[in-house]
Amino acid sequence: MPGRNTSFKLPGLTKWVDNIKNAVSQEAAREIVKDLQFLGPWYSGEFSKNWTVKLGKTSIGATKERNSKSWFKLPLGQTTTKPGGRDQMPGPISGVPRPQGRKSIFYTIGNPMKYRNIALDLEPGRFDPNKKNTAGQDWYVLYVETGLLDKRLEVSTQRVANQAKIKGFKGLKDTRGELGL
Amino acid sequence: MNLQNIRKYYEYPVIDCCNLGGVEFRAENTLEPGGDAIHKFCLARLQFGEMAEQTIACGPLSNKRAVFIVEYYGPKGIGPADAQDFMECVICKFHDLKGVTSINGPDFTSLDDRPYFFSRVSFGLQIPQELD
Repeated sequence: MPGRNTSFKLPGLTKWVDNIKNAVSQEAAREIVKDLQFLGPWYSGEFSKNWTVKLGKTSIGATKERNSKSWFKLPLGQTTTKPGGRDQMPGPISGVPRPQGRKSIFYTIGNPMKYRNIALDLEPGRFDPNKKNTAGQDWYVLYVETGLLDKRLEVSTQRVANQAKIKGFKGLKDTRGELGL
Repeated sequence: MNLQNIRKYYEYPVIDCCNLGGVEFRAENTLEPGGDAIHKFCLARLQFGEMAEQTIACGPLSNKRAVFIVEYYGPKGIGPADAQDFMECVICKFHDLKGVTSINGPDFTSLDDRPYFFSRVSFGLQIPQELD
């Protein structure tokens, strides 16, 4: 007998999986931005507060000028106080857009400030070992390339998986409805 | 393999490229690149990152992660060829090294506030045990 492809459908399960996927992505994007704010430089706070999350594979241009008012009102060399803990970080400037539907989810995280390459230490000019620095040298590549980003994704997935609405498998009600139970 | 030997393993191929291209090599924590662009030079630094899950230096090596950053500084106004040749040499050398998990760059840019043409590449590393 020739083999054939078998497909089956569990009513409610697809929706449940979608809920998990959407919630994990949204949570991860928010938490990654908080990491970047916590690890990154904080002088006037302008750069940190401008981290942006957009839905989809898109680009975030370096278009935003430094707000000279917020910069120059600080005495030379003085910084505004960086929030003490990671949890006190403001998060993305306009929140994280909620993904809809069952398509693959992509988020683009970026910072629109014109001087971002310097703030990210991708171009020299920020870090000075002889001065007070609010972020270590190469803080951004260290976060992305040495496992901290991966760890954040792991932790976010774990946190969402433990949420009551995910654990409770809301799709079961739908499943019962489909099966007439 | 201790941390200094790891640095040596990844720095030496860059020093080879410096010798080939007549570029001065400066390791991390040497002179600041803030002077005049009368000659070209290369800065390289190894930043150890997330590796404290089990141990730092005396146990399994699979948890040692790092970023190796190579920065080229050259005079402005001589075109990008020199920087491109140098970066190509470095990247080709790193293709043959063990433990390179990602390559980001190279990026080329003319620095606004310094008299240098600048290029940068970074390599994500997870130091393999067989390096010992």
